Amino acid sequence: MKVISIGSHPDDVEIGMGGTIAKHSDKGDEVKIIICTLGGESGHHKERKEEAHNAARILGANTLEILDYPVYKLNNPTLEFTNIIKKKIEEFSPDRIYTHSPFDHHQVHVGVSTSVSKATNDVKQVLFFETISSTTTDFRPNAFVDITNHIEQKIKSLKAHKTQSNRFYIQPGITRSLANSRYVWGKVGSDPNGLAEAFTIHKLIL
Amino acid sequence: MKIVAIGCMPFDLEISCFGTLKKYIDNRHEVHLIIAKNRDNWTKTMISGIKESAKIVGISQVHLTKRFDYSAVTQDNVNVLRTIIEPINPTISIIPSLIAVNKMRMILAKSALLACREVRNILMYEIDKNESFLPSVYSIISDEFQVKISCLSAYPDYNKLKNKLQNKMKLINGCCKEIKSHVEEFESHRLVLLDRDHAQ
Repeated sequence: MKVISIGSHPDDVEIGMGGTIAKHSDKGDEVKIIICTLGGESGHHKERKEEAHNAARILGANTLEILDYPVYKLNNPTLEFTNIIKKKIEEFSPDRIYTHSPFDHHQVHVGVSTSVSKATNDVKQVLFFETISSTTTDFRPNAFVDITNHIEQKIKSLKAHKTQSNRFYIQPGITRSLANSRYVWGKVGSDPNGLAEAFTIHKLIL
Repeated sequence: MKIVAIGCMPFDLEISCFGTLKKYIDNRHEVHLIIAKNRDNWTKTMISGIKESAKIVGISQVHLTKRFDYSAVTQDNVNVLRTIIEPINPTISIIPSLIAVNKMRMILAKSALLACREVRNILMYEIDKNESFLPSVYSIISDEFQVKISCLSAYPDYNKLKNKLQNKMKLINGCCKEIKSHVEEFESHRLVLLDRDHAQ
């Protein structure tokens, strides 16, 4: 199976679905991560690139591509950006795409989600992940991945984002707590310590 | 995999998901139908229609409940379904939508959901036109469509049912521009991906 995960910033994919990426890799799936932007001018671009590569390596992703698209142009979905994503999809020809949920407070996340949704007419499976820092309560998951055996990789990949280490939402306790809630809420299994990541299905063609 | 499809009236499942069930059968999965029968005066023709249409797609396991109270969601209703579902231990349950327009289907859906607490994957279907029903899971049934239609021939009012099915297909195909072939559509209540990923 070929999978692309598209996140706005470095660390978004790890926050939303780091365990799922690790699980895909374990299964032998071909995984590509696309990061759309490195953020504003004042960011630590060089460090963040390096961190993103380290995190992708920890999760076992085959490819990481950083588009380094100007962040201010992602505040609203544009045809130009949609076409860039469309081209990336055509080149890789994925079976499944993951990206941000449109139910998000962060306008860049919403812009990326909208552009990706528009670019995926020919992709059979599109799912939205949640970003605990900004996804709204309108995010209603209806698909889950059991990551009980992949949580350590997820936490390690989040720790690779050293410039973000002071953010409360990437702390291991919060990552585990959300994953346990999603496991129980989604009735993924009966292990009281089970952990899961949650998704909303945009489109799943069987 | 074991798949359970739950319906409240004869031909509900034929119209909503028989194409998908045929695909599962063709892939050597075990499919069970549960029809939540609410009265003893179902005609022999109705019962034989259900069994005959199931036979056409290759389903041999048809379970008819002895009683089901369609006036409310009750523990008795849940237990009636659970006694059938638990021994099967299905991977996927296909049930009516929780927001079905038809009240009987809605009561069955809520009861079925409680009875399927241990089932990891639950898909929901809707028969009637319902703008609140927002499907995101589609099963392409181009190859199975003719078999799906022929199943309806097991019932006496075949022509009426055939029209109903064709109208539904028109509605689905009109709604989803990206899908040009015959499809059955579902809302996911929950799917667990990547373990035994039926979406692959």
